Amino acid sequence: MVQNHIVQLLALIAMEPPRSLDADVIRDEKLEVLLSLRPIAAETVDTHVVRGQYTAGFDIGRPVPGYRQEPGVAPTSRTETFVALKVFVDNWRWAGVPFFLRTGKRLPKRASEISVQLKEVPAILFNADPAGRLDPNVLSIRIQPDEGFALGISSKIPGPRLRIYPVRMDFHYGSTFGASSPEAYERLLLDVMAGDATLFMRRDGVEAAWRWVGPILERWQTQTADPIPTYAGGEWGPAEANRLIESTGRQWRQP
Amino acid sequence: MAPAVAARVARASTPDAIETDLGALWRDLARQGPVARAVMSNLVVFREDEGGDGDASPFEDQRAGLVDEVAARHPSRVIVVAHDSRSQELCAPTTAGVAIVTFGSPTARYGVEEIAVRCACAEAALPSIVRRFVRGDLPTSIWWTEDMSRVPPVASIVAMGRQLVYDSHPWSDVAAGVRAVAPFITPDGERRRIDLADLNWRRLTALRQAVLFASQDARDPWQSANVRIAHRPDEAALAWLLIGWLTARLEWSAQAPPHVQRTNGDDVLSVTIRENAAEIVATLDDRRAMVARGNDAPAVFGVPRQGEADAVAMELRTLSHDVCLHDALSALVRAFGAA
Repeated sequence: MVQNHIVQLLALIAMEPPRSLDADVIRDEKLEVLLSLRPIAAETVDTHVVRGQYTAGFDIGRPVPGYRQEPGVAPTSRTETFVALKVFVDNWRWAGVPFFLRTGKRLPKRASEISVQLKEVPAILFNADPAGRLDPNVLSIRIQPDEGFALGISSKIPGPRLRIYPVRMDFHYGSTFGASSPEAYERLLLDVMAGDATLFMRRDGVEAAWRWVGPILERWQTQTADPIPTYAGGEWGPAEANRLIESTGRQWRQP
Repeated sequence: MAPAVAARVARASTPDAIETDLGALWRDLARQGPVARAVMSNLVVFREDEGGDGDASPFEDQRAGLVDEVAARHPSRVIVVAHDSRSQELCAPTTAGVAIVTFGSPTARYGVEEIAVRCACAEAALPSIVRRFVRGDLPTSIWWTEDMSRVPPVASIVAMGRQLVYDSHPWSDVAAGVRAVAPFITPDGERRRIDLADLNWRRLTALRQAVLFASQDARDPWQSANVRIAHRPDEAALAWLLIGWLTARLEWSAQAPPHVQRTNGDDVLSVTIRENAAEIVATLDDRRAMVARGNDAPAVFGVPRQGEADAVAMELRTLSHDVCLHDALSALVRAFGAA
């Protein structure tokens, strides 16, 4: 999941605007991002990557078994069902900006989203109250389901007093155009038939992604005795993943 | 003035298909012309489901119209959880439904989503239902529509919200109701976990203003032994909210509250304060609060005409911490004891 889907989304959001829509031009720009990813060396894996495995929990009220109780899974399996990463893209545009990625199974909902959290405003004017700091503005791109995007901002509630309320400016494809977007693999199959390789990874991109992910997997293979963090099915991941992002003063967005 | 409901489209669904079916409803609506999806918050509406027709739509509830009215005033993603607490088995929701309620003119429509789930399962399973359907990045309010004194809120559900909205007016047992809300009162000095909003507390505003007005000329702080409160038979909770407020402000002992009695008069509440040789009387009825000291001309404070939907929407829109309510409830918890 990380090497293909997640890294692809990262590349799409971090890439420079291409000079044309030619497949190779776009893939060149995505490759630049992959080559700019700061390597996660073995000694930094534990501070930049969290893996987890789900245990028994609930899925919309239904009790569900833990991963090790699933049919065909060894009771001592150490396969991760969740990964969260703190990633940096070392280029002029993204220097110092953390990218937080996470993916997993048995999370509360199936969703694919990219959120861009804008810089926090200075602690003056409307953000001067230390007890009531404004939430940062967030641009959310919903890939699936419920395709669209939204801009979350803070607005003053009309009236004489200064009271702030979080609001959303929301665009939703379905309610605007009345048509459904094709499923992901529908689009890919159509592109295959049309000979459009834009959305497919090129060999150099695949190799770059694996080179970046490799040290993480190698590190995990040496940690055979360490317990894997767990999370109950139907929750958003292990507590360690929350600490990964909260240590920077931020928190995960829920889709 | 809140917009009128223009249309309501609904369909039965299953828990796994809710988002898909909602998407289909939106597309169906949009084929008649664009409709903007309006959502300012998540509103989890909890009600007790006492069984009956298990196949009935979970939207079929006498309060369904009220939910639409609230959504008209404060567009929210509404998630109705109808819970049969008699079953403690671990099981999935039994029925589900989705609806979109639209407002506005045909050329400027907006709509809000409503999801309803009926379930008969252990409380431990409830958070997973809410977690699946709330939208991220939006404040979540929990609206506990049941008599809290009889059906205490599920702590794990309340913990998922930023605000708990309830109404103490129907409490059949005021002490039990106070104990039910006690776990959600954040102790002073601790980081606030949840904002409490009691619809019944809003009704006390005019009377509190009247009492504050009268207190301006008081030479000495009033003592609880000199205060008598009378209330209509169905207004016990309101009377105790007033007592809690006075206790907190005047730092009375919670174990020595003023005398309170039930009456059959026209007034919702009346407060009589003996102050030296004079007597201050403050009364509250459905239209006004009035306070007079001795033979002085009374001061009158109007009671806003506000339906339940207006009251709920105002609380959802405010999302602020009511310190006075918090202090009043804390005083009542000391008086009645925590659960």
